[in-house]
Amino acid sequence: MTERDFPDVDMTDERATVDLVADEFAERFRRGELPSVTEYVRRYPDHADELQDLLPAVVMMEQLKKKDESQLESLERQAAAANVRQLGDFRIVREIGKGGMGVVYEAEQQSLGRHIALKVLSPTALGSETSIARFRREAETVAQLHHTNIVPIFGVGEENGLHYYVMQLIDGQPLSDVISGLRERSGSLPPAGRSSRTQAGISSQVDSGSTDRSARAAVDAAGTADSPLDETLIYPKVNSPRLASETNHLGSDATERASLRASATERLGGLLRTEDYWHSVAEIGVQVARALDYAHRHGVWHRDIKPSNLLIDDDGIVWMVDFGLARLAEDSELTQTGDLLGTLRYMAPEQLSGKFDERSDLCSLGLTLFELLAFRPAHAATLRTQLLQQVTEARPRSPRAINPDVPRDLDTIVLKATAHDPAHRYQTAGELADDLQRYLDGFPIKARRVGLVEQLLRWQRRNPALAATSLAASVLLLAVAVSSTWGFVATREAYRQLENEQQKVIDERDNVRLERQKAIAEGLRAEENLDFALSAFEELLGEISARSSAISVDFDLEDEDLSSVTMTTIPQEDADLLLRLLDFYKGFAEKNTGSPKAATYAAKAQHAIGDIRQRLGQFDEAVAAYDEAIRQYAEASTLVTDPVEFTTTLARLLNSLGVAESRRGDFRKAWLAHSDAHEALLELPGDARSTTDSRFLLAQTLNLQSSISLRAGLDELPPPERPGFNSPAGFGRDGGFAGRGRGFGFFGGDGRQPEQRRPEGGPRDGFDAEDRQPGDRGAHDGDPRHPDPRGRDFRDRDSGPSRHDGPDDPHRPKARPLAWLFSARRDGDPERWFDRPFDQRDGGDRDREGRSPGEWKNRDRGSDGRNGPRESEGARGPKGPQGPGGLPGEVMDAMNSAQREARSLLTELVAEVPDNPRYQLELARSYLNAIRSPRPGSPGRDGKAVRADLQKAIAILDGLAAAHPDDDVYRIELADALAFSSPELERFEPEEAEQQRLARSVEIARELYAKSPEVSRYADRLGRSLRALAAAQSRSGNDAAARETLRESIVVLQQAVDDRPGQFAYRFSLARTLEDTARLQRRSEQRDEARKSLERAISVIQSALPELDESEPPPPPAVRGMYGMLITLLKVADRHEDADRIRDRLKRFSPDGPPHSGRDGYHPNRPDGPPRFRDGDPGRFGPPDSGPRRPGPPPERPPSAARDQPAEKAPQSTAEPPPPKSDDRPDNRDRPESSATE
Amino acid sequence: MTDQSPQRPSEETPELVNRVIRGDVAALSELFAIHRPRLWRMVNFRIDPRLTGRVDADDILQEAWLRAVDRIDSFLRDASRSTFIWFRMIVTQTMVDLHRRHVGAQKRSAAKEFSIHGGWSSDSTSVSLARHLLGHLSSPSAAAMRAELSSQLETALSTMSDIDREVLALRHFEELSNSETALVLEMSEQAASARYVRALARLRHVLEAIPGFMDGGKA
Repeated sequence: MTERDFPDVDMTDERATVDLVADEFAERFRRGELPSVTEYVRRYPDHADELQDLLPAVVMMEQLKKKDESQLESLERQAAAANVRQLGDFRIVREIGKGGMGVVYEAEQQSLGRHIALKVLSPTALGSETSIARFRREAETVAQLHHTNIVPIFGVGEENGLHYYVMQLIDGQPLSDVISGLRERSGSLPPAGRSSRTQAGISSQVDSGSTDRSARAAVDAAGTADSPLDETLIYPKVNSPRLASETNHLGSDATERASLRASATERLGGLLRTEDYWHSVAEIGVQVARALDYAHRHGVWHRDIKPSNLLIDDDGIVWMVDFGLARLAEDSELTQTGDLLGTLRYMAPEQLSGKFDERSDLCSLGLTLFELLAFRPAHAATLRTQLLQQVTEARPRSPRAINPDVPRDLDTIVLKATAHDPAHRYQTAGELADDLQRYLDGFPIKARRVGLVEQLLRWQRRNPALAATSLAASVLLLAVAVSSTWGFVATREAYRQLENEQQKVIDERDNVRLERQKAIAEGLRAEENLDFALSAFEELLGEISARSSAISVDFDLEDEDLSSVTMTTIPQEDADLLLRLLDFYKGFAEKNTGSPKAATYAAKAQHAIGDIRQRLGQFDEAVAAYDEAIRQYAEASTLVTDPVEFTTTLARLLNSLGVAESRRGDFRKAWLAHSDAHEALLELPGDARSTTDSRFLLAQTLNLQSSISLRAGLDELPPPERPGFNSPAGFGRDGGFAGRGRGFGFFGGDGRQPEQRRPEGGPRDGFDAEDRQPGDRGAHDGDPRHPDPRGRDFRDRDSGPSRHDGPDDPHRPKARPLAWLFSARRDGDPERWFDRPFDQRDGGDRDREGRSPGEWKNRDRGSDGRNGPRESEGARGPKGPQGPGGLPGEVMDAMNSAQREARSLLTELVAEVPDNPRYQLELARSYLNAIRSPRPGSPGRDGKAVRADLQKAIAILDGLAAAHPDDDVYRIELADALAFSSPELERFEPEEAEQQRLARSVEIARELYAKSPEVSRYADRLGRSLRALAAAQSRSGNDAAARETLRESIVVLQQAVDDRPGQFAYRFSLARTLEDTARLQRRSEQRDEARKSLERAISVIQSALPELDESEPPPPPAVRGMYGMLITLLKVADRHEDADRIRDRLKRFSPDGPPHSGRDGYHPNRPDGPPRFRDGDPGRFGPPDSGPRRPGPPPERPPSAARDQPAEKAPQSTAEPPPPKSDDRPDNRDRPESSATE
Repeated sequence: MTDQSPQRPSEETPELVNRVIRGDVAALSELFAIHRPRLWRMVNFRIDPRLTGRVDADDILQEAWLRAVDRIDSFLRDASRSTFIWFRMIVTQTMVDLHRRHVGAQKRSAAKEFSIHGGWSSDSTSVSLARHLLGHLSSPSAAAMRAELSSQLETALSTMSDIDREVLALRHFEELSNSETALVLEMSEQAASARYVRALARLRHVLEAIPGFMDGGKA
């Protein structure tokens, strides 16, 4: 009674172990299994004697009861059928089978002197007059059928109230027996968990491995008892002596059993694992399908195709019995579960809802073939409820998934025959027969494989409500199978043993777990299953992402400030499913460690985990997962056979990491990740580099890079030097860009470990050295050819030494540009740089790249600056680093050049492959990137160019949306683009055009929202588009319309907030809209209303914020950003004490002072899109420089300070801390600076 | 196949039970249907052979069902521990009454045969066990031995304690779980479990002691 005896059985101290074992043992008996006593004796050595003694008694009693029940169940039948000796012309010779429908006898037709089979229907099977009449009708119809493969019915009769029909006596064996015989032989399954219930199966399984005399005796005694669980009408009697040797030859340990088998089993068994076997199965299928075709054309449906109704004789001819009889069972009150189970397992799903046509027969045939191929039923549940569920809900299964030897074509045929929706099956039996014949003849079959995704979609269409839960459940089953599979590889034998043991101990009443064990057992058979399942899950994941259409499958870096805030746009059901997938991947990743091969799988799993986390809005976890994926992937690098794939995969991983980092607000790391991806791609050899895929990937990377850096304000930072950025050639199809041998990927060429591969200080192909512009790097003290943009960050990521150079590498450039950049910062602490208030870092060096502050200001003057503290501050502030001169300009140029390069790559790609929507989408994004992030020298600084780019982007997206009307991805992107606004654009675009544009955005967003109100992003988009429209209306003097528009916006956004209370992004949007409303109200002197709006905005923010706890780590960027906004709102609302209190508390998280400043966390005047009210806004609610078309903020004041400067009318409200006091920090520093932007 | 529509509940759910407590007869019917197979088995096992031919298990269950409906108001009070046991008790009483009606109370007290609480009695269980154990000897040669074995078996079984017999019957013929068995026999689960193991051992020895019995089973 120790734990080890019972790993899986619910242990209670109160019950004897023997009792529990006996319980389980009996339970299995009741389910029709035949557990072996020896097996249990072996498993519980501590109780061996007792069990040896007692289990036979259990066997006996259970067997007795079974017999008992089958005898007593129907006294009438007993009485009537048992005593039959003569029925009319027929003299009963012997009973050859028994089933729920009746008993089959061999009988002699005395008048003709021939032996026939006589099926006497049990009285219970024919309950009423109508059903008797129907039986006769059916039997007479079937009697009209004349086909080689249909057992002929000679006639029907009635004698003494017993109804019977007469058919040809077939000397054959039911396929059900054949299958169970083959199953033993194939050794594919452990003994437990069997579900086939034929008599032969039982008697042969009984003593499987058992040497216990009593057990065998008891069970054999029961051998004559009818198993109530299935009807086997014709009992096999063939017993060929030649078979024993064959069996031995096959290595079966069950010669004794095998001798019970008829020759069909032997014949097929002899073919096992050869091509001929599959051919034999196909031949069986052809015969049955042809017979069905024939019968169907005569208007007869079989209705009960299953292995036990198909007899195969010594010549390999298949005979179908019991045509149409299943209908009788529908009428009758047969309640024996066994009858139902036997039939249910092979039922087409639609049969359960009472629908039936010839395609249902095909499905049953398909399920039968499945079993011949996989040696297990397609629906393996042994409990009726579970089985019902499987039949109704399970999507068609692939025999190949269980037995990888199954030829793909056969697998495809079975999948098609068993499709859940009859419309997806073969439409006639003839078609199925033809396709099988094509397979036999070696021609291509007609059936096409249905992708997993399509299968899932089909399934989902059928069953939307269950989609989330049931799909997830089946996913889990598969998941367990897979995760177990891989872990097993290393120690196959030991593990198999373990699994077998575990399997026996499991709580078998829990059918899910039973299934799980089976799945494991099957999973053990083939490693390929692993790949299969992994790819299946990848598809599934992709499908979910695609379905939550607001998120594009690829990198969908939010163009909005929202991106940095936790944001989930997927429906809850998908989130649930993702969580379950997550569990799978987590378990999978845990199991797969140790070997490089395992690391590959683990990396895949971690990548998937990251994707899931990201879609769930769990960005910290996503980052951790991606980091781990990269680490594992690097570990697996020794196995890589396809360096190109390795590199591109790595680049994708890094890009994913970058997106996650940027979403969680760490733009520096995001930038680094994309830079790494870029570097990796640059190392691709020329030919690999010039493929469209590679170029597209690079373009994506560049796009991400530039948008990240812009958003983050990284445009203050120098990018790593990349020839690609600045060289005219760039990343072209000519492959001429530098492969710099950074030692990251696989193209170092000398086979050394990456860190050893670094070229000796020179460009490998001389390209970059020649082409780079001297100005790019001249200022750097590092070797420009070997930048390491990752800097220390990479080590932070524990990415392993192999991934980049150790600092001590003599060949390594001394300084990595990024590190150099950081160290050039005055405090020399790059890690802290981002967290410092910008006024500390800008240090009064206003002359970035020689531009006047005024020039800088132009860019965001009047803008909300919402797109991030770094950017806005950076842009506003003349605050280049004190490092070597010219650096910021370099950065700008590099970023602009990346921008241009991305665009030109994409333009090329679109020209080459005009039909690829992904290229077009990415191109549109690159246009938008350019104008969203105006940098000196970028088109974003020129209103005309901005408008031109915007119109190009809109045109592309318009085209995409029109070409893919069902794909909301393009429409939401279009709505986003249409809502764009920037001061530059404002100055250039006529008001009317602007309002039309915004109105269109609203319109599209409204449609999307109406269509999928559950997608909160649509609500958010609508709310923000409305807000932008309101701003435009207000600017044109139409405050009344603006108020209306804002009202709608509030309603919609409130809905989004209510739907996703945890999503800060929506709260931001709502709070801003409320603030705008307050501003409008204030302007029209509705002071009370304005105050109410403000208070509501405050509560929208405040109610979601966690308490600040100083013992905890600093709050995440999103939270800090929220606090920043809260502080600002409080100040605007004149609640300075509250604001100060919060600010003080925030300060404590950073020894350097407040980590964030309020406006940093909250940028109401973002360049692209936030409403700006017309000049003359009462500044009370808006920064004085928010007047859009006013040329410039006071240059002498850092912008954030300027923006917080109170307006004329209410100077005291926000100006409180007077501008820069050097002893206590300037006010803008007092506000939380959110690295999250918002 | 109409009886296997997917909607049909297969297990007792709190929701179902709550409906019954609120007096929902339809829910009670569903509950009854859930437990019917085991109840049927129980009746089949316990029914006096003298009754076969006059009433069958379905009749008894039908009658019991009507009684259950009558007593739906006491469901909450009486069925709190186990719905199945509650039904089983009603079925048991029904059987007692039918016995009385058909066989008459003259031979022995029906109440003795079927105690209200336990539903088991030494004599009846012993007889039933013997009958069922003999049932499997259906081959002609076995049948010849039947008369002989029958008395031996009854004798042998009578050497087992009442509770041992009953435990075996409940666990195997009625397929009660250990906890249900404990409820019926009004003993702790631990005791029920120990009883069961002991009874199994005794049965085995009892049967072994009968010459030809185990062999006969093998034949």
